[in-house]
Amino acid sequence: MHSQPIPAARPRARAAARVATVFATLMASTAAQAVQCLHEVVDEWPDGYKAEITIVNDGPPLQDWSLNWSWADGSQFRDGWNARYACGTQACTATPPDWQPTIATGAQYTFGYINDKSGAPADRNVVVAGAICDGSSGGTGSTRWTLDGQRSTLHYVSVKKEHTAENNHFAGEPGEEPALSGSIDAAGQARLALDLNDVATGVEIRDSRLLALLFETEFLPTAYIQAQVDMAQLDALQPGDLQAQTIALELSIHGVGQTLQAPVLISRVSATELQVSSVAPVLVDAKRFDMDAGIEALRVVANLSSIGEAVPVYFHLVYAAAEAGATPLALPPAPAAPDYLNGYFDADNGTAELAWLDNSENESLFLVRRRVVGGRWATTAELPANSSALSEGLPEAAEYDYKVIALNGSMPSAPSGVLTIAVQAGNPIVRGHELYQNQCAGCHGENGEGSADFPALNTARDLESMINTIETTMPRGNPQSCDRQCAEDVAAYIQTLWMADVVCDTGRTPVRYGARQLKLLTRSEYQRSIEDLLGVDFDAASGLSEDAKVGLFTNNTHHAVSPASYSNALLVAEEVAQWSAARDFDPALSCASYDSACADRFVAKVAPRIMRRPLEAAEVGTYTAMARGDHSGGDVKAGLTMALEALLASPQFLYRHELGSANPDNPALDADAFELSSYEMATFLAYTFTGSTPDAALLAAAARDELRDPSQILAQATRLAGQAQPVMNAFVGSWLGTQDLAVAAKDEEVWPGFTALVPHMQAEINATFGHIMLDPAQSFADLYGGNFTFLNQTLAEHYGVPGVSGDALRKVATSDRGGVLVGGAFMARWGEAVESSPILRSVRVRRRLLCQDQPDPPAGTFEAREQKLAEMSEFLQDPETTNRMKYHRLTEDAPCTNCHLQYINPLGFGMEDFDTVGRVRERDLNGNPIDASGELYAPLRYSDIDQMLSFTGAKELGGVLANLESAQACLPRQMFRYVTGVGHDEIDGDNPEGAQLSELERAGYACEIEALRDSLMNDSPRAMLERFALLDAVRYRKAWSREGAQ
Amino acid sequence: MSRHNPIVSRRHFLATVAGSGISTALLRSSPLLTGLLYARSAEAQGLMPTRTVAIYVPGGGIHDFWAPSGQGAQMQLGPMSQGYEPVKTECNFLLNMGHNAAGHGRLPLLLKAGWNGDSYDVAMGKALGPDLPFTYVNLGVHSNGQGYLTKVGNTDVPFEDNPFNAFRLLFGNTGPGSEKTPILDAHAAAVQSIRQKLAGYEVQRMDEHLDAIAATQRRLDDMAGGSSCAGLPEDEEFPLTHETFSRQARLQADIAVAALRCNLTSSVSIGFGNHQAEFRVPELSYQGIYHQSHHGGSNGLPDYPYYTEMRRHLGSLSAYLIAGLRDAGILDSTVVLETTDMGHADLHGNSDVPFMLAGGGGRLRRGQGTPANGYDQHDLLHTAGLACGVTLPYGREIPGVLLG
Repeated sequence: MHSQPIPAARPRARAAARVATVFATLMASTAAQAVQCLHEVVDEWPDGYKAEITIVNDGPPLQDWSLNWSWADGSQFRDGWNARYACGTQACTATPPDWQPTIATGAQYTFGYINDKSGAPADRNVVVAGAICDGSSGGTGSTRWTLDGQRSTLHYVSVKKEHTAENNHFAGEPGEEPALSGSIDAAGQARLALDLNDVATGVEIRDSRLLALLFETEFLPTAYIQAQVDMAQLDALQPGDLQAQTIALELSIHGVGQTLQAPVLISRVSATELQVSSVAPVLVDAKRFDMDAGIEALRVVANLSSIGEAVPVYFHLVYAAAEAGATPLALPPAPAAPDYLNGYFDADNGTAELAWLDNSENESLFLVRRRVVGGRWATTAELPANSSALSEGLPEAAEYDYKVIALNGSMPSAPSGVLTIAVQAGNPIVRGHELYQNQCAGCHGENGEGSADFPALNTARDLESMINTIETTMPRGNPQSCDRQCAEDVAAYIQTLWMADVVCDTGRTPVRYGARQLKLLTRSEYQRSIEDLLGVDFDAASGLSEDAKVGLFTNNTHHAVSPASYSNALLVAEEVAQWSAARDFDPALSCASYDSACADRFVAKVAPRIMRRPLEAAEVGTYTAMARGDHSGGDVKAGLTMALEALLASPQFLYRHELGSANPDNPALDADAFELSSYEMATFLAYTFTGSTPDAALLAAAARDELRDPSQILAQATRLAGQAQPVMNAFVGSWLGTQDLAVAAKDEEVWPGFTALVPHMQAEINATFGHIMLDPAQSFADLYGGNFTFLNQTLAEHYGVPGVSGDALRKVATSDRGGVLVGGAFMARWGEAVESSPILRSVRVRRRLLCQDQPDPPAGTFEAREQKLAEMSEFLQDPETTNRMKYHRLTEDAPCTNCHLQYINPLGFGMEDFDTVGRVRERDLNGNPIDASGELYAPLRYSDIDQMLSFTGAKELGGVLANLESAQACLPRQMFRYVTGVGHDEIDGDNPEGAQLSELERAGYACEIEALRDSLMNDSPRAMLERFALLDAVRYRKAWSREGAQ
Repeated sequence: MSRHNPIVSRRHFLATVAGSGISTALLRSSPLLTGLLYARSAEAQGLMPTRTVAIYVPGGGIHDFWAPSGQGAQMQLGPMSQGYEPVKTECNFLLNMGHNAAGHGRLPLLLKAGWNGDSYDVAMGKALGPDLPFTYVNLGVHSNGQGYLTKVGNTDVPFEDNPFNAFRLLFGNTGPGSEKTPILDAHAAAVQSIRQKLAGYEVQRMDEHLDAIAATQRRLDDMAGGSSCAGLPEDEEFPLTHETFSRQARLQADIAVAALRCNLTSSVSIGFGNHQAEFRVPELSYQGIYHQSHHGGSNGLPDYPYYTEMRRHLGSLSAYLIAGLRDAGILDSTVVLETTDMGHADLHGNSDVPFMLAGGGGRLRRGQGTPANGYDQHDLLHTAGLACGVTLPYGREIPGVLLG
């Protein structure tokens, strides 16, 4: 009954992210190691249990780890998450999941699994083993005393604004590791580690600033204290004895080690407990630890008059006698100090050039620190291990000191010698960078990528208006703090963040490779396929799970099968198979009787059509057994039904394979390239042009292996493009949103009967678009500037076009409408229930027809909105107020004006001569005359706001677009995404952390877009459509890496 | 168009259950049914809530029209929150909260801390009901492909907008799982064969496919013979157009309640509409799409009457679901959270965001508003998780909400 289709030992990559539902506190392990590997059974029920394994990494970042463990309770591994598992009967090996390859220093990583058991209780003594867990950097000797982190405390007093003293301490989160850990070993080595991330000042924002600005815990998370204790003295203490001592401490914090004197009181509380307390505060002077610059940064950011630079530290440490075998706290060994630091100022590039000798082999990082001579040291660079040089621009002309420190985790080397470099000229980009980091990055992101509520700055803008915006409005709430020079510097830096458009360079990409892909059939493709294969005459595919959508288009290229979508596919397959069986499989199969010959004919004839290729030997075996009734008691009809059901939910059917294989006979291809087989090409052509499975002619051409030959491919493309109307309908409906026209319903009292018009308007735009795309005599200009549309009597009466009768659409010459923009469907789709919507229309034109990235409105930027609306109440209700006036007033305040004043409103206002039901109008509903004068700002590039084209009315706008290079390049881009499943420059612009295209891949796609555009403009839209079949990026593939797809 | 599925019609399904009953042997052998008994005994002992529902209502709300005053049965709701009146004593209205991803297109950031990784519904399903037939159930109403709330690892899970599909998947009886085993075996072998040709992220997709097959096999085995759960919602078909928005929402809510009550899952997420606020509710006096009710000046009328009407109605759908849980006797063992994508929608506001918690029995303070300035949508998730005894790795506990 519980037959498992999957061998238990296969590696599994559960796409599960940091669930880390830590029910349990970690096992309190007193003997800290660099890496701890902990196993815990967190839940148990009669027939199974759930266990979690946590890796606590206090050492350098971990990669490529592998852990193994076994259990003795007879249970069976069932399912695991957050790691890749390879499991046998009583043991598993886990390795990192693709999406979490690294465990950072100071991080914990938890993964877990469920075992099925029968009876015996879960084995709770499982030990996890692995090279990383053995504490290889652990200390020597045996531990005598172990710090009780829960009962030990460390306080310091900070003073701000001259005389406001505050008491601060370090405390681990409840249920997690305490801030302090430590030990005293038999040789008297006392070691203490302090997790600086646990700083607790009582103010969260202050804590996070301390971590980022002062401690720099991103790469210096831990402070270490070491001291030598006289064990003989310590051992001589009897319970109740007190002893005062002054101990020399070696404190390593913030990349600097210094010796401090600490007067302490040691009290032997009992045989098993020792307490060490400060009797006088230990003064820690920030200057000695290069932390004074951080304090100054804190002072500035918190707008304080002062923060004291020296703090008194108080501690109370509680030690318990160590258990036998406990190992001492392990400290990372300090790296050898770098030396021979030398360098000079490069006047040509405006940079300081540094080099040094890397003497260490255990470093995880190099820190370079810099100060203006006589000033404060601050970290200027963190460089990876084995670095030995740095080149950096400097903000101002001055003499600068440099030093270099090697780090092993948080443990520093001694610093290199100090080098002084005289910098003759400051660098505006560097100044801008500093300003940006301090005042802009918090909202706009470290690299200008934007954050949830704030726009991205990493695409080209108009420089002058950006400088003006920064000078007059930024930083928000305090614009006077950034003057003209500041704004220019920041703008100079922001420009370096702009992502350059990749341009076509045929020398670089002589062959343009697409990505190997497996595209799940969309519902529509599934439906059309089963109609063509089996004669299905009902809507079966709506039972499938929803298609994925990326940007505007349905796109299953990167979508994965989930338990629900697979189950739904099975249900649909079952339904269709039974429907077909009830018709004796007509028309796919015709058998005189249900016998093994019939079964074999099904496997030989029907199955290859469903799989779109001949079956492999193993598949023939599998499906023959099914069809002959091996699993249904010899009942062939039941067997055929099962085989059909299996095929219709099979991976071979559900995925459109575009994988290809190596073709050594093609010398133009790279060694790691794949060429689509003729069968794969047949599948591509069929779904691209007809949205369905390959027809007999395509399969026959594939059987002759003709579809690697460009002339044969083109012949098929030419033949099939004539059948592309349904695909064109789906494309234009998604591209312009008109397939959802019904959602833009109109007020029945004002526009009665609109609902009935919806399908007619959709048919109109579909027919118009299809005509322009598929009739070779049409041109791109017709798309926006054409003087025709397709009307029937219903539409013609609605629009007021005379002389059209009957239900059938026909091509009608027009003067005030035409093409896909200037018509009913677009104008009604992007209109309100009563009035038009200049905003929606304008933004759609810019984004969808010009492929410009009009940003979303930032969050929460409007103030006193209710008050504004109340003030405007009378104006808005005044019958003489036009839509144009209304939207101008609604968007007339900063910061709305940033986008509305030029980019959005004038473009939308120019389409006001179309009402919300797609009719041309000269007056609005109140009888006011329409002003449809419009301006298209930045027609070519979003950053070129100083360019502007004037027009009056939507028809003139169409004429403008027809001749714009940006519009001409946009259609090929949109269609490229629709056909290939990836954008020419990105996979999914809505997911900033999703998979990214490789740079070389993008470069190739840039060439493909140019090729498509050439066909579109030099030949015809039809030629461009056919051109897709011949693109290198379609025929030739690579397994491109997908950055971020982890 | 009519469906052609003689097997899974509801009437047939009920007949099957009535005819067969559940054998004691099945009770012993089926993890589903034993899981069901466990859940019940846990409830009887008054332990932590064992279920959770995440409701997504787009378009936030206006604080002054939302925030309740008073407590318990005397609590006065605002014009925007009035839809919750029937269940207000079960609700804790969180006030003054922030949002770190306010605006349209931020759906992926509502139920988790980053763009990738398991969303709340998935993580909670794994924590609360890993052995139930469905780890999570994700339902939508006219989500229309406008963004996804639910994610498993790196994979978006589109909302199931079609309640009839959801009904069939959850409650349909497909017969003994072993009947499908040859089919599933063939599929697994085929995926393995494809997998061997691949590298990188495509391998991961194939692994997910294999997991889907394994999970389905397990579920079919577990559910062989059907479940014992009676009183399923009516699944009489009606067209899934914009005209039936509210009816779809109520049916999806009924399905959610039944799936939880029948212990088919421990975690449900449900979205009413989409983040572009591109949907409408024809039975209301306001006739436009939701988005337009936020902007455009409300025809000069003060106090956003259209927005208020729409939001009140959406709240009533949420309340319908909460009332359904209560009527099914499982509200006390269910922690309901309601999230949204902004505060004041005309501002795409990121402050005064109206979030809500409901249910949770002895774990939640209810029948009140709780000021929670300085907390955001991820803290809402964290707090809801804590109410169920689950510590999510992001967010903080919102003070003044949890009990016990």
